[in-house]
Amino acid sequence: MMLPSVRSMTSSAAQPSGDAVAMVEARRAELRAAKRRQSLLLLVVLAVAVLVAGHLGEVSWQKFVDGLPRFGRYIMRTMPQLSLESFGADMSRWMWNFRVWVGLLVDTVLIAFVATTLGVAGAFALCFAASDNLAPNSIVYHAARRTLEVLRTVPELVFALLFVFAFGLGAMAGVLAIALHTMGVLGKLFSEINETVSDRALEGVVAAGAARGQVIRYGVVPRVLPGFISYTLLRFEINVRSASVIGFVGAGGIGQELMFVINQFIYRDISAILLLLIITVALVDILSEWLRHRIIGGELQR
Amino acid sequence: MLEIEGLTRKFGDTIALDAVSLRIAPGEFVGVIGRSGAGKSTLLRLINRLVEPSAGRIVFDGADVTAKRGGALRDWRRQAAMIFQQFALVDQLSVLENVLVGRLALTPRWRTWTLQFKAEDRALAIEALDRLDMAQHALKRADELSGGQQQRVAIARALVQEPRLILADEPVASLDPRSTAAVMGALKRINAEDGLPVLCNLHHIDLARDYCTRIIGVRRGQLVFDGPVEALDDAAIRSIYDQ
Repeated sequence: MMLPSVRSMTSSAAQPSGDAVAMVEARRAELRAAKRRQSLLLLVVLAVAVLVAGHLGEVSWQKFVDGLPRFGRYIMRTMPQLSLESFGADMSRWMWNFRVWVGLLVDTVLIAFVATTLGVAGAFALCFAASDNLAPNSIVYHAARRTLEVLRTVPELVFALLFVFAFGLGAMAGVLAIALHTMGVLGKLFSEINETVSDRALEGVVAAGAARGQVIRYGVVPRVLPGFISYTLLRFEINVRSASVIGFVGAGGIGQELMFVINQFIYRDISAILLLLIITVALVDILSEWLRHRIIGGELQR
Repeated sequence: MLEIEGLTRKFGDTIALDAVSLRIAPGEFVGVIGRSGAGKSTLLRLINRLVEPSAGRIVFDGADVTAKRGGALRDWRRQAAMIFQQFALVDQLSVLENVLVGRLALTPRWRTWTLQFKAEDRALAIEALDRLDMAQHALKRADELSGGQQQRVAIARALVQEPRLILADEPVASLDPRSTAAVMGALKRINAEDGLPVLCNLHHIDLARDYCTRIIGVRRGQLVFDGPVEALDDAAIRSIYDQ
């Protein structure tokens, strides 16, 4: 059925409608051709870049294929011997050091928790100065941006090494390392959320004579808070993973133990620790997902 | 023929719409008036099934609309075309693509993933824009247009849905007087030339008098006036607006 409702309406433009279709279609074809050339060019550039980067980085398909069986053998060696008849005994032999490992995992989560809290506080403090729509002037803006850049460019492991050197072995070094990196990453993400708040939306507060800090407190913070919370919870999950690695350089948590059993080729323990780590991370995921829905969901309902 | 029987919607403890019954015949231009929060929007959104009724029935040409699910529900939404106060266009899409949204329910789903439509669909969309004097803007981004222009794009989208009913929820509340005349005029033309019934929420009684053939008054969720536009006297207005 052709559309009577469209066709029968009298137009205030005198020209017949076929002209409009031809005109729009011609212009559309031009735009599409230009866009297609652009995307093709982009695709070629991307393909070349990947090939060149892979070549220079010595990413070799041959090496990958050759190494794959070795990888499989390593994994197989870490697998415990479990049988149905003596499952309980086999499990307790595999998880022989369960209490110590769980204790270390709790340490790991605590390191991540404290580090995330400190990092968020730092990120919150700097993010408004690092937003181009809220910074008081360009000097402060650039200073804040560069600070955050440095903090997130230095890898957590490097920070951890420095702090182990300064404050000795243990969780303190790990907390500081992860907190600083978190501050750098979240500061950048927070400032980007701030920049999506349009000037128009703020004009109501500015026009009432509010000072800069008041504009941020009343015009910006209520709008960006759900986004901040979402990114914070995501970062907490990531930090639990980070906290399990920084132990490699002696900065606390499960990492130290994991490093030890890998270096000593204690195969069964590797798989036991990794399994517990995966369970821990899954639990943190579930918890933060639940929190996110409670907080953000409530925000949307209002 | 649209028939509504005992339509009720509760939000928690508040009753947004309370057992409303009415019939709308082909070709009617019905203005719905009442204070903010009286239930005008809820009535329109219930008819399109954007909101589920707590009780009551909606029947269109003998078919029970309230029982529709899945594909049948989506096809009903296409037939009961909505026009919103804030236009409800996707800012990042072009005007033409926004109008083609009106063809989604009529296009196989696999075809629509790439945003490409058949040439006939595009021609239909461009003609609909042309009838509203908007063809020259077809390839602009929707957010480059003024409010009145955006609302005309939304009407073009409604038209290509091949609707059997137009539901306009405060279509001119955010527009200046000239755009208001253009938008209301377009709705009136569609109504007059195609015999499509229009159900239109309005804030201004003058607009209701100028364009509608029949007026429905809603007060605190209840139908308190239903009659031809000539019967809308001062006493009726006072009772609708609770003065």
